[in-house]
Amino acid sequence: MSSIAVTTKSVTLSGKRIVHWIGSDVRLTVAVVILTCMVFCAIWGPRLAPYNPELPDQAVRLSAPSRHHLFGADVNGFDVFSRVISAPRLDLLIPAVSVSVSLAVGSFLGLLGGFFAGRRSVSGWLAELLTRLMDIIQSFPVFIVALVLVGVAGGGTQNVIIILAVLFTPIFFRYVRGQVLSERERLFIEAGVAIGNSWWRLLALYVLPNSFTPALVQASPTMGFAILLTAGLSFVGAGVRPPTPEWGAMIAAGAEQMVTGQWWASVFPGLAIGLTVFALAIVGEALRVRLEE
Amino acid sequence: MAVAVQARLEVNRLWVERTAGRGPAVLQGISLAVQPGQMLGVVGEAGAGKSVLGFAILGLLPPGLCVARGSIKLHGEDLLSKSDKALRAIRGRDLALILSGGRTALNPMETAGTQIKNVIRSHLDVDTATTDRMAIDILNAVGIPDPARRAHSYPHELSGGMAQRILIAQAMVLSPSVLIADEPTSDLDVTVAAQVLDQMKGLIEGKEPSTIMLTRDLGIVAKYCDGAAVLRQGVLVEYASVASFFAHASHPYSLALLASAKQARGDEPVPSFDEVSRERHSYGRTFKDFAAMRDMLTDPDYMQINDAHIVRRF
Amino acid sequence: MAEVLRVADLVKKFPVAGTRLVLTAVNGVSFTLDEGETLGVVGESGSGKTTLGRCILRLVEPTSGTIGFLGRDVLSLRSSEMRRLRSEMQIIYQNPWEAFNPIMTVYQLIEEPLKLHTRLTRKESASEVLRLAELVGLPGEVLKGKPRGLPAGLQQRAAIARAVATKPRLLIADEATSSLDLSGRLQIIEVLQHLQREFKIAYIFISHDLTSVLRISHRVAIMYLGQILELGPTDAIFSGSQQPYSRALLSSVFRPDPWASERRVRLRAEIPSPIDLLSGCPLASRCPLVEEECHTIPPPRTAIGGADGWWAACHPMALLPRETWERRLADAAT
Repeated sequence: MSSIAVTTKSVTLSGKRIVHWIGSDVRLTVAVVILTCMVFCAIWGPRLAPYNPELPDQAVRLSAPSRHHLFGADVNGFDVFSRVISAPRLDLLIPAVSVSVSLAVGSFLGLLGGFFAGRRSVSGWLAELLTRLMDIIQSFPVFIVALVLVGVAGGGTQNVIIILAVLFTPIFFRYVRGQVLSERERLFIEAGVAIGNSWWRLLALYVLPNSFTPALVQASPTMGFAILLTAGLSFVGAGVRPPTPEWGAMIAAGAEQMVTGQWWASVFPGLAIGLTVFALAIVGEALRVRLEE
Repeated sequence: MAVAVQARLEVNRLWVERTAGRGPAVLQGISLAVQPGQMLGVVGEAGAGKSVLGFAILGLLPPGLCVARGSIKLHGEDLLSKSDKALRAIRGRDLALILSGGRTALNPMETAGTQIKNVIRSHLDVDTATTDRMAIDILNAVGIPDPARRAHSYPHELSGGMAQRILIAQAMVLSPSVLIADEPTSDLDVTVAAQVLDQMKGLIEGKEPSTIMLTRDLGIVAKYCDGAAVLRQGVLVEYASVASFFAHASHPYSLALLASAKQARGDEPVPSFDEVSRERHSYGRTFKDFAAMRDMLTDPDYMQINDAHIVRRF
Repeated sequence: MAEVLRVADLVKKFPVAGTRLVLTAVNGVSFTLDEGETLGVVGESGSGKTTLGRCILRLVEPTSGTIGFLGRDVLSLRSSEMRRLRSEMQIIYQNPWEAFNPIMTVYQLIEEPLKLHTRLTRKESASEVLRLAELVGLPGEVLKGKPRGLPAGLQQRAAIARAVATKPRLLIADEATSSLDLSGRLQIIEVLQHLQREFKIAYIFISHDLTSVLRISHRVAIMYLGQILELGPTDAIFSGSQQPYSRALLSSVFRPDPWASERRVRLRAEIPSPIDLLSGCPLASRCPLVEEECHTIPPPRTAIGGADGWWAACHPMALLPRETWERRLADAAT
């Protein structure tokens, strides 16, 4: 008997199959390439940058893109190119960490919240309470809440991560809870009880694997949203502190100069954000299509 | 043999194939004949092709299937050569269908009465009073108590048996010449099914359509039908008057169906398809010789047990 | 014959959402079951037979009554004890594909009860799974893959292998043959009978298909609106029942015999709703032989002489001598 691995709903993970899947659709290939570049920048960006991204050179302030400064220099004298390729270290890190945390926490809570919903017991009431709490968090416009929380707790990378994780948790909670609510009525759950599974085994092996897909698929576009949020927070001065390179902050710094024709300080970081978010959306969609087969 | 008579409904060597061309034909050279007032039971398991036969007669084959050759004649006219428009005029009026599924086969948004009246109005040009009267009459005839009130019920308010009766009423209200009943009671509880079938049989005796009863239940064939045709994977394996079928069934498949349908203890072994018991008696019964059946008698694949019974060679 | 199951006065009521009404699915069911015996449970929709099966296995919590299984009071067990007891009582369903966890392969499905209830090593489990597959006639090649896509008959065999892996003393088959075609039905019944001879498993065979029930059951219980109206040896009931509902039910299943007697006991009207049931005999509103007391007093059980463990619930039947009653039934049949 060869070893038989437990598989998620319809996909057996194997490197070869993943590569094949990526190559099958041009858009997906392009998106993955973009993301790979961004990850590359996140890891080696600052090392490979031609100029120190945090050290301004007054002499080249607002110089247009040229041989020396590929993307030009901004109003403070920073080399835009160096900063654009160094920013992913934060611009990817913050979304990646916050979304991972909220995915894990939100899914776990969604599992419990969905499974025990409607029961007339302590667990039922707790599940209800949890759901209401998530509703409350979600009922405010995300950006406003983020601003308020940053105002209260102060900016900085760590705080932004925590705030975003809290704000995203209800998203995954809701997806998983919704799926759990329908899955738990299915006959195979009862069959799982009949065969003698404990509640925990039921949750972990029966309910969760069959409820996780919608949340997983949602992770990628949520990361895109996180990038926008991070950039947005930095744009208004909350969030990451200067002179740390961050796309949103860069757009803010260069915004005034757009009017007078020095477009490069804002446009290039803006393009970077756009490409990354777009790529994340494509990957998310492709994942959804693949997993829902 | 008597002079060949043309039956009201004749299916002559009908072949239905997949339009994509792959795989065996779904119906392979089926020939049947039904006279007014008679009910032919077409028996087969799931996938045998019963529903396909029904839909082919109605001209409602799904896009993946098409009639490759053969003819279907109603009152002597070939239905396959008619235009879609002509068929639509006939369907519901001369050719009717009763589906299974009760409530789910009815429009959930309209009352029972409205759905019956829709059938009337789409074929006849009569005033409201007449339409209402016809609807009440047919509801009465299918055994719905207090029809005037029931006509205002929506499908979800009806029980399974009631809903099925509405379907029968819809099919029979215009006194069609041909009625196709596609497992009309398969979803119903046994006692309700018996009641519904009784009512249906009563209506049929009154209006005398030629009926094809598609079913998996040999008991229904025994009790209500005049003829029996056994389909197996698109092939007609046995075709006889009911009396002859149950007395002299010869094909191993028919025998296997009969053995498992009998309320037997199960200690008797079910005949495998290798075992055969044949009895050839001459058997004069009133199942007229039709052109369609005669055609099959000359087919080398079939042999005649008596003049109301043919079986495919095995 | 050791007694395996003893059900007494089992009741299950469901609240109807949004109202104060109560739906009574099981309304006072009592019977016993010996090891290696098959009890067929027959009834139409609304009879409560499916809910009965789930109550016995405690997949649904009964409202009242007792269930004695292998001498233990099932309803009083704590959840951990109940879980352990489940290795002795199993169920197979009408549509096995709905009862399988979509992420599990056939091998994993059959192995799971072994993992949960035994201490076999990986290797021992593997050989046990293979042995079970062979026992139910499941070809080895299907074990590696998922059950979806296999023909219904094979999936049901896999479900049976999974259900008997821990050699339970009781197996409930809930419409286990209803989704299969003719030959599939016969094959599954054969598998079940073979396993019963091997392991002395007691079966509760719930079905609306009388021919299947006839083949496999030693005794049969006829249910209507949550009550058993007759219980006794299968042959006796099928050929000689005098309970009006049993007769109506059995005569409504047509014999494949055009010369069989046309006469049937017919029930009036339609089955009433199981919500807010009236007291008295559940058949009162439809029975052709209904009497005054049938409407108010629940019918007593009348032991039918001769065969052991054969009784029927019917008022007039209890009061009248057998021949008189038989004549009245015959007169009522049309």
